[in-house]
Amino acid sequence: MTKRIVKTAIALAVASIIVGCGESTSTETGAQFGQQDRVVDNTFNETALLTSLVDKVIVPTYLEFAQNALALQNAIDNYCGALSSQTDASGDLANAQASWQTAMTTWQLAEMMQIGPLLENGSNLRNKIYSWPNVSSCAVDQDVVNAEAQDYDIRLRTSSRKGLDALEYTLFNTNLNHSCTAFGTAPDGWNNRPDDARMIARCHYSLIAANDLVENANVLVDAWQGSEGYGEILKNAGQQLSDFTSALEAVNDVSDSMFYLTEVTKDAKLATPVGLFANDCGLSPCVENAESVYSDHSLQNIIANLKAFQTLFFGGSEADVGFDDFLVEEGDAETAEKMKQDLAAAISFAESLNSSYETLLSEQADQVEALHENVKTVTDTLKTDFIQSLALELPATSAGDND
Amino acid sequence: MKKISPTLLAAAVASALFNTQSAIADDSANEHINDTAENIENTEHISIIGGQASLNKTAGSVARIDELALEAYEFDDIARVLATVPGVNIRQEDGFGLRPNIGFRGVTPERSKKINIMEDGILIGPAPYSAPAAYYFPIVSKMTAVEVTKGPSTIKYGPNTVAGALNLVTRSIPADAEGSLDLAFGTDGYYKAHTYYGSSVDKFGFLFEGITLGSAGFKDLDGGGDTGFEKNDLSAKFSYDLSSASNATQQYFELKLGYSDEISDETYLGLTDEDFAKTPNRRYAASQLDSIDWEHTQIQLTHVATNEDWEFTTRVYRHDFQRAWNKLDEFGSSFNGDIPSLQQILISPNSDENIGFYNVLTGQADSTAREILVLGNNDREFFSQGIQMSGSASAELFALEHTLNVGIRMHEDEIQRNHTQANYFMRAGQLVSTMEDRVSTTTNTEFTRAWSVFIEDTIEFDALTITAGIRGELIEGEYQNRAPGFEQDFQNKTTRIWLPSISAYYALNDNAGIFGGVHQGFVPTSPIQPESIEVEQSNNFEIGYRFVDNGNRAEVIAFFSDYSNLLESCSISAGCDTDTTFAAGDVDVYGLEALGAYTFELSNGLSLPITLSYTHTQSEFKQTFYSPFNQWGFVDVGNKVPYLAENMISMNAALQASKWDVSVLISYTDGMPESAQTALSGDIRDSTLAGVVTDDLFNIDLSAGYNLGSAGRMYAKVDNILDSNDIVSRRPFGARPSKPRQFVLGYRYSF
Repeated sequence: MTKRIVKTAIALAVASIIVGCGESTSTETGAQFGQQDRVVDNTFNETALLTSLVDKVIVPTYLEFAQNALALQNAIDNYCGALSSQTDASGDLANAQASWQTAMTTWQLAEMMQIGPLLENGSNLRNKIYSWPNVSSCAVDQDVVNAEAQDYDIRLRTSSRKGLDALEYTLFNTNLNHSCTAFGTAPDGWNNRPDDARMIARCHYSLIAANDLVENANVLVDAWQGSEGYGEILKNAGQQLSDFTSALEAVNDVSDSMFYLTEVTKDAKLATPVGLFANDCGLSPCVENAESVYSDHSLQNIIANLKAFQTLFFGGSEADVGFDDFLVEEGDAETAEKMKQDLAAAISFAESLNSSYETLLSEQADQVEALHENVKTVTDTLKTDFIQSLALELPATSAGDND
Repeated sequence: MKKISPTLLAAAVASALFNTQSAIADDSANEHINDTAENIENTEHISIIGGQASLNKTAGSVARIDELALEAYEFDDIARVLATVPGVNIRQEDGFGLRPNIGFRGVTPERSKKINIMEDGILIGPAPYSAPAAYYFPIVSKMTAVEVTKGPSTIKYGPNTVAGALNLVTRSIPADAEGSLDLAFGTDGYYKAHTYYGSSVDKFGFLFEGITLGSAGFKDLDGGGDTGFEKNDLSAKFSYDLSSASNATQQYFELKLGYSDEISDETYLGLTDEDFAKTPNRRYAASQLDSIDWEHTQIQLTHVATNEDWEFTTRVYRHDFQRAWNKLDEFGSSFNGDIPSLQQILISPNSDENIGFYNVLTGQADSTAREILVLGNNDREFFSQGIQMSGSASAELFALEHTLNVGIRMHEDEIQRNHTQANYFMRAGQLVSTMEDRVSTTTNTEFTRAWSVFIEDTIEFDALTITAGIRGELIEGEYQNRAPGFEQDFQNKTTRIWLPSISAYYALNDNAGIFGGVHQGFVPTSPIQPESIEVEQSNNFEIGYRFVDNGNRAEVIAFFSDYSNLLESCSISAGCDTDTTFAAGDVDVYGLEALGAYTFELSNGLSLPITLSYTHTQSEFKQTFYSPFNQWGFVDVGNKVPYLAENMISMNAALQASKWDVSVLISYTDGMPESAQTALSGDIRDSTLAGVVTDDLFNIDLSAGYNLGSAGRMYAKVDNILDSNDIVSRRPFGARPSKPRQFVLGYRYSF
């Protein structure tokens, strides 16, 4: 009898586990729920758009930047040579500064194109080239001195010590004293050095940083070019063996990068310095919170951002396959036209501002606010009609913004 | 059948809370009530899981800490109360146990969300289905018993059947006029005042109870400020006995009303390891505004009907809970860009990227617009309501004695989130508003309506008792984003599941038996989770041996939980900013629980009861994967589940005389991994605490009491007598200390 009961118990246990598998879940969701797989029924050739974006916009921009970086390296080399030979270096400094401005303008186009390799491992490559807003003039002051050691290797240093932001400080800052204020952070004996020695030290460090910049620019170009480069990956998105499940998913990566105009250009470069967001002066215009304070290049940066957005939107020039065509194909020519007009208006308004950005902030803050409004007109459409008409998803960082 | 007194019926009510344990008891329900009543007389407490005899024959692990044991240490922290129960794993957080993290048999303890927390047999979590994180936990100081159920018996207490149930038992209405006043004061501004009075007059019974509890806190806030808490709890019970000698069916009503609140200056912010080593009880300036404020109300109506052949209990309940926790969530920047998490800053405070943030966090430097302190006010409103009915009956069928237990529950609960954030600058060590508008972050509602049924049959055949049961859950969840413009962000979800269990107890003799069981473990997903996130399921096995002889006891149980889909729901307390659920797939958790209790009778009327408990737990992920859940990260096959201690051991000993008693509780817990990832890989997605473990915890609590006869009882206790400062965890953000040594002196007058 006992055996029978034990057998029955075992049978019941097995049956119990089998029965326990009877779980079922069903759902009904709203159109805005979660990160849903969107079914896009369109005839638009998204691969053509991606090809246009890669071949006519993104890769050419990166290539141009690599050339700009090389020119900057040469200009700084000349400047250092002039300083070392104790000849008048002002012309070489001006050339180096102009080269930096050229490179920076190109990079501000690339800022709007942060896709793939630039984003890997926490935007590691992007930050090596340009780490703003995570910048530290004190860290650069320290490395100007650290770089004098034999074993100094800039590749091992953190991003706030190098790149275009570090070069702006070493090339444009006329105050030769260090900027470190926290206890124990000042580079030893720096302020006691003669001016010439400090200029040479900064120039030598600039050259090291420029060499690093060239190296990183080439890494970026190499990552995009070739048969296995990221350019091909994007262009082949959605095809067999692709990392992307669809071409639209790759298009979504590009549209994500275009949200730079919202989160960085509109908010960080305009709203924050003008005091719409809290800044170091509270909620009033704050010159020191502009992007490129040493070079007074902040407005040019914003204009470059807008132009990069426009180029991406058109897929190159207006005749190329771009997002405007995609919108028209999806039956939303109205949004295509509105964005085109609003972008042109924003660029036109930005270019019409004759003063430096710093002057605008301190004397004509209303003009900066007006520019902010112009940009916001574009980004409002980007976040709503543009995304919805093309069945794209908002980037996660944009979902909870303050607009 | 003789007339059942209010006291007996009160016992019956209480018994019905965990109703089916009566089925495991010796004979009929009536005898069970008598057995329980006997307990009342003997130990001045009510057992709700049956008398000791029923516990002894339970096929599964059931533990009870009774009122005498609770009074021995006057603990306010459930973690300390449960220290002697094997198979309980706890992650401490604030030192006071205000929001405990409790797991059983290796389920992750995060906010106790995978166990069923009940008060008097009713789910007491704010919204057990829709938002299971137990931010509300009943005040332990007023409980008269704490019960832990693990193993196959769990199937009766859903929705979470993977681990077990924790039931907190409140005071029952006394048969005669009875009251007590308990006053205690201690170091760090500790105070407690606890009083109750109750009586039964003819058919009417009542009980009023109140407790206030608080501390100025043991942490030192940079720049000064409170770090303590205040808790208040008021409750009332009214009963009416409809029984009569002429009616074979006896009936009884009880109404319980409760109100409680808490204001505590608690934070999620801990310390860097370096700062912890210097001043473990320090709190950084950035946490100076952190505070949680909550209110909880409850109303429960119970009806019990019983006769010689059956008993039936109906309970209607409604709980409301409102909480707002304003606390440092993260750093923000007006420039956006990469901003390290608080955890990253505290793990590597001196790195280039983090030093500026660390200096702001500690108030050593003023904020720039790149180091804005973001304080989130997670304002939430909950309700939980329902009706549950359960009954038991015995009958002989096919020449076998059957005891049938059935239950049905219709439960609804809801959470409304109205989360906002505000920005602050650090200015000269003080948080100063940036003057920006407070912004909404999460505005949504989750609602669940759940139908639960269970049926369980216990068949006795000579020395063998077999219990087979099944539980069904039909869960209808609704999620709605209430933010303007997001009307289409909703989900309606329906989940159905059947959860079987079977267990057996075989009596080797009158004192010893072996037992084993298997049951299906289940943890539902909340309404917001998409269908792609599958519910958590596991097969749970246990086998054990128990020896009981005149109060002495030995028990060894081996358990094995085979998860087919381990889930973790991530909230801020776990280091996330959303209530996202993550899945880890197959995971095995297995271990051993052992308990030994023996009372040495010494000369001069002294007795020395000693209880030893030991838990060994092993866990392993069965596949290699990456999860963005920051307690997992990059996981390889064989990695351990975080926050499970391999070895836990405790000893509780007391020397008792007629006038005085001295008790000592010694506990040891192995250090626990803070992440499933075993080492940093250099990938930006690394789990920040990869390879980091908590400190081994060794703790001694001492208490002593002296009975003054009719004048009451004086007691004194010292928690953490060694004043050890250990890192109990580094979550949510940074290293957190255990409670330092605390002296308490108290006086209780009872009548």
